[in-house]
Amino acid sequence: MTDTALAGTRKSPGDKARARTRRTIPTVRHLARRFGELVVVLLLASFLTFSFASLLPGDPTIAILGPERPPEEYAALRQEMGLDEPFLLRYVTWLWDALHGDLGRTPIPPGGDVMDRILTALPVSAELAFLAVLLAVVIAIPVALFCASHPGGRVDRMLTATVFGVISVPSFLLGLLIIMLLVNQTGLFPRNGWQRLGDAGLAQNLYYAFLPALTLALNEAAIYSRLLRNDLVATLREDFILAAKAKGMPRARVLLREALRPSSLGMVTIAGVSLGRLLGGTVIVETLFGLPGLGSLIVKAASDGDVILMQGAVLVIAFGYVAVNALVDISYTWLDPRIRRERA
Amino acid sequence: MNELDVLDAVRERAVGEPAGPRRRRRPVAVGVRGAVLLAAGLLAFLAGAGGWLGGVPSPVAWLLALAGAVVAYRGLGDLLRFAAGPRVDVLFWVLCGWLVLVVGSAALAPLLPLPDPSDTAASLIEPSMARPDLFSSHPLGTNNFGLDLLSRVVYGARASLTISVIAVAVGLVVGGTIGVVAGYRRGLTDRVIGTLVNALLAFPPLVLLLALATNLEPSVSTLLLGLSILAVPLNVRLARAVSMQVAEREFVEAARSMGATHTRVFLRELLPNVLPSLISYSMIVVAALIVAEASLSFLGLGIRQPEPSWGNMIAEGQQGVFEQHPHVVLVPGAALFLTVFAFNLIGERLQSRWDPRRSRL
Repeated sequence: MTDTALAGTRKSPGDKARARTRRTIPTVRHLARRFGELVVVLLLASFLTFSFASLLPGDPTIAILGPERPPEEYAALRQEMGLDEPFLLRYVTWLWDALHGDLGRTPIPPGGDVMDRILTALPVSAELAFLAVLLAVVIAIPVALFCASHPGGRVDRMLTATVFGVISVPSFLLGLLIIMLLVNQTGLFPRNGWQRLGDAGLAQNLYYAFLPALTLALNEAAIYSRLLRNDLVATLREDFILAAKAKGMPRARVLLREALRPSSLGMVTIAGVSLGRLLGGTVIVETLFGLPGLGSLIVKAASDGDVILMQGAVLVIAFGYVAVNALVDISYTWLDPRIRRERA
Repeated sequence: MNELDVLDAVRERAVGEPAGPRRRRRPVAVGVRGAVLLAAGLLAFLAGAGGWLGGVPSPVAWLLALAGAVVAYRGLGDLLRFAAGPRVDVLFWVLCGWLVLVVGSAALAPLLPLPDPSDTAASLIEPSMARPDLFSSHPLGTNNFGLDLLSRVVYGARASLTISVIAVAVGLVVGGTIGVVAGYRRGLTDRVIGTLVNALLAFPPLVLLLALATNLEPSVSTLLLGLSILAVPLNVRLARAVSMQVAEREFVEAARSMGATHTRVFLRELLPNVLPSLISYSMIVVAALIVAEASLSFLGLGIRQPEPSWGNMIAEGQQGVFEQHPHVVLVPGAALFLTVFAFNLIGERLQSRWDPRRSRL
């Protein structure tokens, strides 16, 4: 972060020097503690994942064999799957294998290695999440700039209500409306399907990914634009903005060159967090647009009662979310020294 | 300008939103204009939405309906300003009105003169996919099986609201208690609870519900369990943060030094101060849970057909039905949107009134 970012909250020179000498060691300690917490949370999350599937009543063998078979068959399969072992032992075995990249094989068709299926699906969801966040930022920045440069204006006053309006549209409803308006009325975009980046090239890939990404992006854009608008309004009251204006800098330049960067930290954080959240949050959109991502995998696992596939997919999503969050947290501390000092 | 107005103006100036130009108009004129606008708007909306302009929904009809809704809203705003003064929060009161309507009709559903929402045998004689027409026996139209959509929307609200509100109540009581204890005791208790909450929050809501649905039969009790598991950690997190702040205040210290027990501090000092934040946040959690339930039902893993839920009603519009018969999606969709919007906005307004520590969204 540049010095301009901190101009408004800069403390006295003495404070700064003292903080600098104390800074290094607490930061390392802070990171180490964060890392310890991270490991514990991941362990707990994996335990919860395993419990959801295994502790609850319900028998996975019924899902595999179908109902109304002779009891011996169920018993044999239970034996084979190791379901008669103690719960904790099964958990440890499962986690040990998972840490070695082996999430087991599922007998429910189309079957196959769970890790392979997740790795095929993951890029779709990851790309979707990334595109959605990118699109949301692209939408949010002009909206926020406009509202912040006309504070209290007509558009600005409508922003809060609009934001709540937009985030109150559930994604399946939004998706259906987008399909109605942009697919059926205009025929500009494909209704569903997916072209892999490697197979079909970037243009085809984006052509198929645009509508699902847009559906996800609108919610995010609403949140980002409000956040960025508030931060911008706060920044525009800083002295260095006044100085820039006093020097006769044009308004657009003040907004873009001086105000936008120091104000965007909050939005960048939230964007990082939503990247992690969207990784598992694309379930509805993937189902609606028929995309072969993690979300579709989970829905299929849930409707088939496929416990093994579900465990694997949920574990990957939870780990991804926790890891991205931790990264955001650490990079935030790194980007903004104010927080680093406060926490240390 | 009276004293309150000055305060308002100062506050708005402080957050960079100067009060807009005040309109000075004679109230009666505003009231009359409101009534006229409302009537004209409603008429246009009905004309557009009811498809009186022709059988197939045309863009013209959609635009007319949309314009009608906007005009009617403006008219309603004028009427409200006429009744309650120029600074009334129109959107807030309109959404409150909607919520009263939905909750009231959901609570009284069995007493209302509505046809059965799920009896497909009885509805064989009814027209299927009837378009909405206020002056017929099916004011909001019917679905594929000839089931009345008005009745299904009302009963769907009954299911959605009951499940979500119970889950939120569980979250409030269980999560609130745990959170306040964590925020007051600090130390190891707080660390353990915090880690557990973080682990639970690592699962996106819908993924958690789907994981539970893998093993459990879709039913109301499964949904209740899943939604409660979603609501508890959210409440823990908020209650912990607020009670931590409250616990540092002088009056808690005063109570402690006068010899109050932990239980007494908890009940008499912390709880009354944490509760307003929790309750306003609960409105937002209700909204999230309604969406979660609707999403699950949309995927066919929540409330199952023929029992109505807003989610599974919207799912009926998939596979090309929506294109031919948009009302099948738009009727439950509008109900869902307005209800979620109402809970979100009312929650936000309550938060800004009761919770000075409001999050930045």
